[in-house]
Amino acid sequence: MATRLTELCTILVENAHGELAAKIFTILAGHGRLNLPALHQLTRIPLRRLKNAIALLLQHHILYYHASYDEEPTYFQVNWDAAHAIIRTRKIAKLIADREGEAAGRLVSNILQLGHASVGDLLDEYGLAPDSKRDSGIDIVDHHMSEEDLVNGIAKDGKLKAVDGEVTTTSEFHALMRKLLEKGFLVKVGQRTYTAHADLTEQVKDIVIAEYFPTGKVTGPKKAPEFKARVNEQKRKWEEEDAYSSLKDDAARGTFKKSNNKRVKLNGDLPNGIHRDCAVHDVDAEYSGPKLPNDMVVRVNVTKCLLILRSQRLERMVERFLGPATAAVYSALLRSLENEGAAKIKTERDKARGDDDDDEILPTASDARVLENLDPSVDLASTIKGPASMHKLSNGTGSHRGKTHVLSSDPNEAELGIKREHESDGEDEPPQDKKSAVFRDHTKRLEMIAMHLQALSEHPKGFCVRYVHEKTTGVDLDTLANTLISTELDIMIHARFGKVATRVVRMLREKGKLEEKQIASMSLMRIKDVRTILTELQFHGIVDVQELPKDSSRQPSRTVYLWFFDEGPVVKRFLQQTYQGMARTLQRVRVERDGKFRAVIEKAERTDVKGREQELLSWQEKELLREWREVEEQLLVQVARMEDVVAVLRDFSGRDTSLNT
Amino acid sequence: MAEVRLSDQLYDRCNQVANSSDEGFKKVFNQAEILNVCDSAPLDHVKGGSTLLPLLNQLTAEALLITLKKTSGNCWSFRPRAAAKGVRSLSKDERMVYEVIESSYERGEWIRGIKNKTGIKDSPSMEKLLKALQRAGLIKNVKNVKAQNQKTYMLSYLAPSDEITGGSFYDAGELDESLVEELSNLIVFHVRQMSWVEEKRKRIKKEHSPILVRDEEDQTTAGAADTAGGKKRKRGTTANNDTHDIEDSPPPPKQRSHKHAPDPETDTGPNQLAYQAGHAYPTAASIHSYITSNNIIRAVKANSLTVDEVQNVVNVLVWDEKLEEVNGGYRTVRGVTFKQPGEEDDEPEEEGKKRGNGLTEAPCGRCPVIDLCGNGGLINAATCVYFDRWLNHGEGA
Repeated sequence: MATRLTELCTILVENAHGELAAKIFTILAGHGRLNLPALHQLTRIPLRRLKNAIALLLQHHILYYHASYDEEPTYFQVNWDAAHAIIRTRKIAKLIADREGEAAGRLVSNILQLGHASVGDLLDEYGLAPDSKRDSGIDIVDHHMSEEDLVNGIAKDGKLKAVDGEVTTTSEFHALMRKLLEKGFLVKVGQRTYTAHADLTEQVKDIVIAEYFPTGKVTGPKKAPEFKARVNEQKRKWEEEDAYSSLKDDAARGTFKKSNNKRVKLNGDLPNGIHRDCAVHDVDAEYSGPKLPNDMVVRVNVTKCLLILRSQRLERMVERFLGPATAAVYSALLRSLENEGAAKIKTERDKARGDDDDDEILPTASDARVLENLDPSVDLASTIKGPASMHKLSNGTGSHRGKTHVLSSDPNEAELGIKREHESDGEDEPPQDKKSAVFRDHTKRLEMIAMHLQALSEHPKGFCVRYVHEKTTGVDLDTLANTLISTELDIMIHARFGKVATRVVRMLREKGKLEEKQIASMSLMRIKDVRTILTELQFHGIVDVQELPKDSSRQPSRTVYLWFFDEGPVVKRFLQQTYQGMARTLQRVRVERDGKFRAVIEKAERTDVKGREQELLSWQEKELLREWREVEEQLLVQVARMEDVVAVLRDFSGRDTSLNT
Repeated sequence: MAEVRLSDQLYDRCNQVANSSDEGFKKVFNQAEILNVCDSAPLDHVKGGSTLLPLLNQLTAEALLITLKKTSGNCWSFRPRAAAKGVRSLSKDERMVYEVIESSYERGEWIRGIKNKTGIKDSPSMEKLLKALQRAGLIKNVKNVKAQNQKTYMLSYLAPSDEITGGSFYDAGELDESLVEELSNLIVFHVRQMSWVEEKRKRIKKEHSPILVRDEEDQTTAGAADTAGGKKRKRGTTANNDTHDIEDSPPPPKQRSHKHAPDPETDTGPNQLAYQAGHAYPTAASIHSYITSNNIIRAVKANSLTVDEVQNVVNVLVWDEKLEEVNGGYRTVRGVTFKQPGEEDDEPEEEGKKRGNGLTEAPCGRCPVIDLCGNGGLINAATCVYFDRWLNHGEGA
C-alpha cells in the first residue's frame, strides 16, 4: 500500500488519538491483517494498553476486526477511509452547521469526536437524560461549547447568541437526531459496521451457500448467476436491516411525555430561525414524535457529506461559467436529487454488485421540486437577458413575502425600461389580488427556473439534461465527477506548467494520440516550442509517448511518435503528491512548534498562565504567540485545501479503489 | 502557315476556357471539350478526331500541350507559353524531371518523390538536373512547413499551396505568432460582444454589510461583495460565518469560502447577462465573415484566410478556456475579456503560475525534489527551504 498515504494517516491518527494508536496503526498498515498476539509482538506494547488502544481505534472505526465463528483468533486491520476521514472532521461539522443549523453542527461534531455514540450517552452529554436532575441544560451546554472551542481551535463567536441553535429539550434532541438520520447524515452502527467489506462478502457467500446451495456448487452456467443474484439479495437485505427507518427504530411509541411543552414554546422559534428551507421537515416546537431508543448507536456518514461537498464543487463550477443565479438554481436542483439513490457516489463495489434497478436512468427532479429547494431570496432574473430588467420576483414562501412583490407582469413594459411606481405595501390591495400576485410570482419563478435549467443543459460541460416536455431535469453525476477531476487536473497543470501546456493537454484529451506535427499545427505553435513542452510534460509524467515503428528496423527516423494524455496515472500521481504534501505540512506544524515558539507555547499552556495571558505574558511573548498562531493557521488551512484536492481526485467519482479494504 | 495559326487559335481558346474555370491552367480537357471550343471560324471545320489530331500533335511538339491518360481515354491540359519555351530546350532527363514536378502543381514535389517517379536514383545527377532546371527559371525550391528538411520543388510560376506554406498564419515558413495572437484577441472581442449582454454593474460601497446588500441589491452584487471579501480572505474558513446575523439572512445559497482565490480575469468588468437558452451564437463561419469583411486585418491576409483557419484559432481558444461551444456556436467563457489593442500582455506566465489549487499553492505542489523528500532523509519537513520561504513571504512566494 502507498507509503505516502500511510505516512499521512499515521500523522492524522497520532494527532487525534495519540502516539500509541499511531504505532498500532502503522504496524497494521504495513502488515495488513494481524491478530492480537502478533500485534503485541510487533508493537511491543504491554497487552493491557494495547487492548485499550485497540478499543479506542475500534470505537472510531479506524480498525476493522474479523472474528470467526471457530476458535480462530480475532484479526484486526486498518480502515483507510476512516483514518483519512479524521482530517475532514471540521469540514463536516461546518458543512452540517451550514445546512442544518448550529445545533446539528455541534451534535455532529460531538459524534465525530466520540467516533460513535449511543443515543443515551448523547442525552447524558446534553444533560437531558431522564435520570439527570437538571432540567435547564443550558449551563451544561455552555460548558460544552467552550470545551469544543479548545479542541477545535475555533475562535469563540461573540455575535452568536448563547441560546440560539442549542438543544435544550429532549424533544428537540430527538427531533434533531431523527432529522439527521432521515437525511442520512447519521447512520446506525451495527455489528457489521466493524467488519471489512471483503469479510462481509465472504460471510454473505457462506450464508447463501448454506441456505440455498446445499451441494456447495456455485459455478457453472446456471448456478453462477443464481448465486450472484442470491448474494446481492442477501446484501441488500443486510443493507436494509442496517439502514435507519423511522418505523423500526422508534422506541416504544407513546412513551414520550410532553412535560416540557411549556418551556419549548418559550424559545420554540429560535432553532427554527436558521433554516427556512421548506423542504426540510422542520423541527416543530410541538414535535411529539416517538423517541429514539437509548441504546441505538449512531455515527456520522462521511459518504453523505462527500456528496454534498461534491454538489458544492459543482455549484462553484456553474457559478464560474454561468453566474450566481444559475448556480443557485443548480444548487437547488442538486439538493432535490440528494436523497435519491441514484445520486449517491457509486463506488466500484456498487458497480460490481451490478444493481440493475438504477442503471442508465439519470436521477431527475421536477421544476417544482427545484423551486421548493431554491432559496427564495435569489434573484433569478439577474443573469439572464430578457427577464433581467424585470423586477425581482419572490416565490412568496420566503422572508421577503410582503416586502417585495411583483410590480410588472408585462414583460414588454419592463423591457422598455419603464419602471412602474412602487405601490405602497398592500394598502389598497384587496387580499384577493395579493393571492393572485403570489400565484403569479410562483408561475413566473417556475418559468425562470426552467430558463436557467435550459441554459445549464446547453452548456458544453453537460451540467444537466433537460426533458422539456416532462419539465424535469436529470443530472449525470458520474460524468460530472469525472469533469471535476479533469478540471482539477487542468488547474494544476496550468499552475505548474503554464497556459500552453494546458492547451496541449486539453487537446490530447480531446483528440487522443497525436504526432508532434499535428499538435503544432492544431495549437498554432512552432514545432520547437511544442517539443519543449511535451518533453517537460513527459518528464513530469503528465503525457506519454508511444513509439510506432514503420518497419522492422525500428530506427528512430522510421518511427512515428504518438503523444497521448492518460488521465488515470496522472490522477494517481497528483494524489500521491497531495498525500505527501499534506503529510509534510502537518509535520511542519510540529517542526515550527518545536522551534522558536516552543518556550512561549509551553508558557501559555501552563495552568497558572492560562486565562490570564494578558497579565502574565510580555509583549514579546504575545507577539511571538500571535506569530505562531498565524503560522499554524497558514499551514492548517493549506492542509484543508489540499484535502479538497484529494476529495475531488479520489472520492467524488467513486472510481478510486485505493482505499478499499 | 495556316495550320500554325489554327493551332494557336485552339491554344488561345482553350486557355481562355481554362482561365475562366475554377481550376485555371490546371484544367484538363477531354476530346469533347476541345471540340466544343472549336465551334466558330476558323476552327469550325474541326469536327472529329481526324481533324483535331494534327493540331494537337503540333501543340504537343511545341510543348504547349501535356497529354494525360485516363481510363476513359486521352485528355490534355495546356502549358503556359513562357514555360513551354523553356521546356522545348530541355534534355530528355530534364524534361522527365520537369514533368514530374509539373504534375504536382502547387503541392510541390519532394526530392525523393522525384527520384522515385523518374527512376533516377542517383543523387548527384539528380542534383545536376534540378540545378539546370532552376537555372532555366523553370522550377524553384520551396520550404515545406510540415517537413522543414525535405527539399521540395515546384514550378516557378506557381504560388505554393497552403499545405506547403502552412496557410495564412505562416510567413516564409515561419509561424506568425503575433498575427495568431491578434486574431485570437479579435475573435474573443467579437464573440463576447455577440454572446453576452453587458450591463453596467452597480457600484457597491465597501462599508455595506452583506445583509444590506442581500436585502436591497440583487444577488449578483451580493456575490460580488463576497468575492471582493474573498480576495482579502486570510483566515480561511473561520472568518466567513460571523459577519452576518443568522437570524436575518437566509441560508447561504452557496459555499461562501471560496477555496481558490478569485480569478482576476473573471471578476472584473461589467455584469454579463446571458442570453436565454436556444440563442444562436457565432460560428466559425460567421466569425470568418466578420473578420474578412470588416477591414480588420490586411486585405491580402483577409483574402487568404479560410474558415478552416478561423476554426483552428477558435479551437485553440476553446482549449485555452476562453470560448465554449454552445448550440454549435461559440460563446466566450464568462468573465473572459479581450485585450485592448496595444495593451501589454496582462497575464504573464509568472502570474498564471501563481493560481491553482491547494496542492500547487503549497510548497510541496511545486517542489522539484518531492520524490527525494522523506522522513530521515536529507530533505524533510524540518530542513525544507521552500517551507521557510513560503511561511515568511506569504502564499505568493
